[in-house]
Amino acid sequence: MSNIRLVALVAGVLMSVLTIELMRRKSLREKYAVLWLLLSGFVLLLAVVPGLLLWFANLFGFALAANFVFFLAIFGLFALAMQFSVEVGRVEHEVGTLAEELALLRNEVENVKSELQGQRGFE
Amino acid sequence: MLANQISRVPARPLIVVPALNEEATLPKVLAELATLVPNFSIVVVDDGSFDDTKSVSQTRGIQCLRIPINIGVGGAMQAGFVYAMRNGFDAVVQVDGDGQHPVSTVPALVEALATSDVVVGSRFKNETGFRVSWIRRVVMRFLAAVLSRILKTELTDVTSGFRASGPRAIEVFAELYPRQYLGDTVESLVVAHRHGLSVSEISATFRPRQGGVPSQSNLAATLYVGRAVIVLLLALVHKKQ
Repeated sequence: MSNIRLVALVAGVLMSVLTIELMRRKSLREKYAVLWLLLSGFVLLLAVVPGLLLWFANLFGFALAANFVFFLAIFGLFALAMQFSVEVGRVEHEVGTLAEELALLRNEVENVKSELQGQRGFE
Repeated sequence: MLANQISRVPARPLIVVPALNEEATLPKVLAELATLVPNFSIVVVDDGSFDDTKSVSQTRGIQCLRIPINIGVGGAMQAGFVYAMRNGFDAVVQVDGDGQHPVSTVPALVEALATSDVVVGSRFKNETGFRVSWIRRVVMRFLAAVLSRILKTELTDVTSGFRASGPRAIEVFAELYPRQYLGDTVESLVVAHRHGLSVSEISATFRPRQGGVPSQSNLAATLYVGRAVIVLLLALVHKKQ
């Protein structure tokens, strides 16, 4: 097996093992678990099947198979980063909502406390 | 059934009603509960509704947990379990705010807790004539078959949210109830099993939604197929906690 295929195989295996272990520890939410599993599977597939990568590259009109790999990786990371941006924005918004509710709750509790103390004061 | 299991019919049951934008159906559900099981305590869990769901319980003097953001039915139920623990309840019955769960079957669910930690109201047990699209039927059958093997109990409906949980189950679920869609039903059974809880079923006939709008679109219902299987596979892979 050529060096490069060996490297790809090791990378694919490492990715799969890491993904599965993180899934076991519940560190990956289902949507990301599926994504990373598919990704690792794809890397493994390319590493194991000779000529598959070249076939794909030619199919899409890339002059070099390497260009295709870089393109996929960059595009994939771009999409992932975009997804994270959206999610972080949403989570920030939710945290803000929770913070506001907390403040309102504190205010309510303080009012109830004063009310109770006021009543006791008149006894 | 485990040898060290001490069980009897719970004396202080709590009905937890998770609701997301159910201002149309919640009044009917609460009215039914008041009529059929007046001796049960009730808490409505408003999962970030933006309609008038919260006033429904307020105007009827029923306890309400208002979650400031939408975290899903699993999160809403977990809030219910924590509420149950902190207020000394020994059983939790989930009755959805959309009116699909048959309130008349609630006493039977609770009674079955005498011999089981979790009791599921199954739509398929005893062929109650429940109709659902063939894809969903196949997937539900497959999931039930797999979970039956794992739990070593015969289960026929593992996506039913109409369930009663006894004191041991409440303790477990208050700590870790799965929140994602389908996790609260399918995955929670795996969680129950991992913690040595027993699960059994009784038959239940659901009604169609009594009004309002389902929180799921048709597309989401179709993706249900893939998600259910994935959730189950993930649940099986999880390290025991």
